[in-house]
Amino acid sequence: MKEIDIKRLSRLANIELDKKEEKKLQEDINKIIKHIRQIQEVDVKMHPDATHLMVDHLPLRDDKKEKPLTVKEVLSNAGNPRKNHFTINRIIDEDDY
Amino acid sequence: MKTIIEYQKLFKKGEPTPSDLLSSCLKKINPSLNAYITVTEELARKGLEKDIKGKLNGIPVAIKDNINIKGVPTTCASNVLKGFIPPFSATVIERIEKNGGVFIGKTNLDEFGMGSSTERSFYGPTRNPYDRAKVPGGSSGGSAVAVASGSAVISLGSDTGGSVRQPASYCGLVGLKPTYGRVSRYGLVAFASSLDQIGIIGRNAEDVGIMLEVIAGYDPKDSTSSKKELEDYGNLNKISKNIKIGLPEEYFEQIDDEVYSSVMEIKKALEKEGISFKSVSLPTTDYIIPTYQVISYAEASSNLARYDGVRYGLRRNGENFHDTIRKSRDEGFLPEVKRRILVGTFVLSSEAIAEYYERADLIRRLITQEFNEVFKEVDYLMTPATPTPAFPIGDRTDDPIRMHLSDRMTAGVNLAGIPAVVAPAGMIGKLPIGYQIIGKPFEEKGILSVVRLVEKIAPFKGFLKEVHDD
Amino acid sequence: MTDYKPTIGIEVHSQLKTATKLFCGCPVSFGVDANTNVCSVCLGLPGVLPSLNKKAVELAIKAGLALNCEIHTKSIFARKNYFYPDLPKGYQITQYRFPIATSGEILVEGKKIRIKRVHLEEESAKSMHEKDCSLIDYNRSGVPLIEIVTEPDIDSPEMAVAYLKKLQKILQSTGISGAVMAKGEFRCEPNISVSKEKGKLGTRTEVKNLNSFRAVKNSLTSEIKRQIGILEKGGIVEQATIHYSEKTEKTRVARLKEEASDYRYFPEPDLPPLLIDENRIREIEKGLEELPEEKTERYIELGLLGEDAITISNSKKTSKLFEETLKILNEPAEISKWLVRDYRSLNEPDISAEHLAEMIEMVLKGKISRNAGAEVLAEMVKTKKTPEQIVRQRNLSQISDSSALEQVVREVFEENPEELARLKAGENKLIGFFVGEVMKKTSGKADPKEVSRIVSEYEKKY
Repeated sequence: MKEIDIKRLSRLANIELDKKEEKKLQEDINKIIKHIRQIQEVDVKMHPDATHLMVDHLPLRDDKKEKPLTVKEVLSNAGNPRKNHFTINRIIDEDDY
Repeated sequence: MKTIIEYQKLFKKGEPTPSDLLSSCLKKINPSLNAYITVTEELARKGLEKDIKGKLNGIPVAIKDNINIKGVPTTCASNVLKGFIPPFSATVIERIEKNGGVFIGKTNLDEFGMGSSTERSFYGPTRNPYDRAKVPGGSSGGSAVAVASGSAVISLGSDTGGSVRQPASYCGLVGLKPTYGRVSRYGLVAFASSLDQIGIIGRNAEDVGIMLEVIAGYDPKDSTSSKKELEDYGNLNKISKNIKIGLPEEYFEQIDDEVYSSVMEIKKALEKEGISFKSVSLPTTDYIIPTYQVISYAEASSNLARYDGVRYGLRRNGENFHDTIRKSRDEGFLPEVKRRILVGTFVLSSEAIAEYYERADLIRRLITQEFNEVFKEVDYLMTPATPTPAFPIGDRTDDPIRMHLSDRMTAGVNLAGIPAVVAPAGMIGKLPIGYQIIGKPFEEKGILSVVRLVEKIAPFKGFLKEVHDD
Repeated sequence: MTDYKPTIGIEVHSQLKTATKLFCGCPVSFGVDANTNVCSVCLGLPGVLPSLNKKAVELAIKAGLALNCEIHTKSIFARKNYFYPDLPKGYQITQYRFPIATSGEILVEGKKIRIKRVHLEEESAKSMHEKDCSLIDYNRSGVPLIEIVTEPDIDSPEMAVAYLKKLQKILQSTGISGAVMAKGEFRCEPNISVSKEKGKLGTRTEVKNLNSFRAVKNSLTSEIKRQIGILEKGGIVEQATIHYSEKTEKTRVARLKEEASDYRYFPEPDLPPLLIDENRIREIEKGLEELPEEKTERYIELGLLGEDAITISNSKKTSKLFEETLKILNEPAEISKWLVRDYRSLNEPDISAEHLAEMIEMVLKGKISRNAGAEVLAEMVKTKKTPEQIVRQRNLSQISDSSALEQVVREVFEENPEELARLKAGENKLIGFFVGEVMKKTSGKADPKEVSRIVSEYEKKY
């Protein structure tokens, strides 16, 4: 079984791990994956249809305006808001979005 | 022990008044049990002043701290939500308020609902009032302890793989996980969206049924909530004796002998009433835990991506945006949550998704289908709630596999979206142990009625005196 | 340098013209104060759930129909997982494997550009930059978007611009989107590769940050040059994101795509499948008007004269009649003539396509003369009788039998010797005179075409 690339996972999940954590997590995760792999034994060729969803279609909402939060409420949990905006590190890599 | 209806009758006489009841509940809060993260006395008092007439008038309710109450901190027992105060209430909270219920506090849980012992909390473990050295179960341990120790008459928890039912078993209470979509999830902090349901932990079936009447029903804010009509879930005294209850053999494997005997006692009592039992088989039971892990961890890894410190919660500044997020999340999450996020990330990653996530989805459908098939032969299923009674604190904390052992009995129900209720079967030494009744979709009234019948013919004798003498 | 052919595909994100956001009831508006159109849902607070906007679905269906796509009665939302400051939930709700529409096409300057897919997704928040930090405004977070993706059918920067202009027009005229580029309502991301070998595609690069059609043209032109430059030197074009600067009007490689982001798409568990009623689709289709220009182009392709095409396509009623008649009788040029002249001069009355087709066919087969046809048309309008009935009742069938006509022509020749002499001498315009005389003699029933032919032949003999 290929070893799980924990560095890549921690990058994708955006959780920084120190060396100790990395090691422990690597072990734990290997254990868990090994356990989970059991599901590959199951014969699923039948492609069953049954579902946990008790709602068979997505209900639609009328395009009617609702009252938004006040700016104060929106920013109420923000660390250090500025000019009624949320602040984060300066984005240098002015990417795509 | 009084029921909700009995309290309300007494309120009319003024003995006690709702305010008296609230005060007596507050007094029963035992800090050493660590059931509460936030006690909301002022909020409760204000609620009583409003004196809203309704099914829950004057009743103190404890709320698991992953369900939002406007203006009250929601922590999810995590450091990552440090300081977060939601500007809105969950739909279930609004419904309880409209029915006169008041909130006594936010209860402790395993961080974000991830755990089966309420030990993995940033705020420390909650202790089982029956034996302080034992876990109360999880992740809704705080809610169970609040009710078991008499500081709340009834509580809300959440159940993703058994998190309401397993603590109910360990604490001698009735714990209901409704059909998926029966109760709105709006305002419940998501762990695994396709498995989560808000559940109810109470002293008896009627109380739980009344609470279900209050909180259940379609909510346009939750697109997965069902429009199916409600029933009078608190009216449980009629039950057909012609019902057939199935005993799935796989659920009786790997359990303590005493657990087996306790459940058999209940079976015997019901048989005396004319109810018939039949042995059935659910071969996919062995795959419940890994399937549950793959799906719940995958959804959790996505649901918890929003905790980045930008708009709320803990923030540790780094050199750039991603660095800041990484540091905040590293410090904010406890190890179990990190584990699950990373595994969840793995099973969704492009090289693994087909073999893991997509496969698990297929197995989930097989499990669901199996339940559907078995319900053609029987009306309900009866199983043990947990393979053992409450285990010692610290016993399983570091073992990610063993922690899931009790999920084998309970998580299949979440995977299939069907309702299940746990109720006390008896005592094993000092500790309570529960049995579980599982039903078809939207059969809450039916399964609660079975519990009600058992309460009449084989009443639980293990309530703690704080509850018993009430 | 000219051996290299560019291949371009374009992804467009267009903001839908709805009153509220895609998954919550916050108002959608432009230019308001920061964070004033935000609620718990679009802020991504713990415990919130999405609730899908009906109007957004309808506009998406409309867009799919306008682009001649197949609308799927079942489509599924998915989560696209990644971290970015403008993404509050750490994932975007979009559509992945089962979008709302696929397999469409539009004509751009005569070329068919295939539309791969149209799907719904939510917009991200907006960021502004100060010296020491960046500021985020969530007003835009959750605004409904449709993403429109073409197949790589575009083969030049000019065509790319033509496509975008046409798409923009379609979206605007149908009320689907304001599609104003400057307001951020219409964003395009072309991808481009060059190749010498037919059928083989080069490595694609993606161009971003384009805020005008001019930028699209310039950036693509510049990128083609860059890629060709690399290839001619024997190098390899690497997959990359290309940034265009309005200021310098130059492109630069912004980021090499070393590791494609793993978005870990999976179906959105908070949203059941979107089921769309066939009837609803038909209703929306009815409300959708084809652009007159579209029609005109289409008609010209069918062989109509430009002027006629414009005339017909500018009238909903006439164009509808045209298309219905065409389904019965495949004579577009002929039908158009009747519509442009006789039908219009009758003020576009209500007639059935079947009858119109019937009448025109009779004229084409020579059963009645053109003039008779005009009469039949007028009568059809007045009395609602069928062409058959009218021709029979008014005895309008034409004499096409050449021997019978020859007889009449001979008579007319004999009665008009002077004109015959002049005709033989070369005054060919007198053919018309003779045709006219034959028509008089046959009370208009002669087939004038046939008469004309006979006259031309016979005058030689006399």
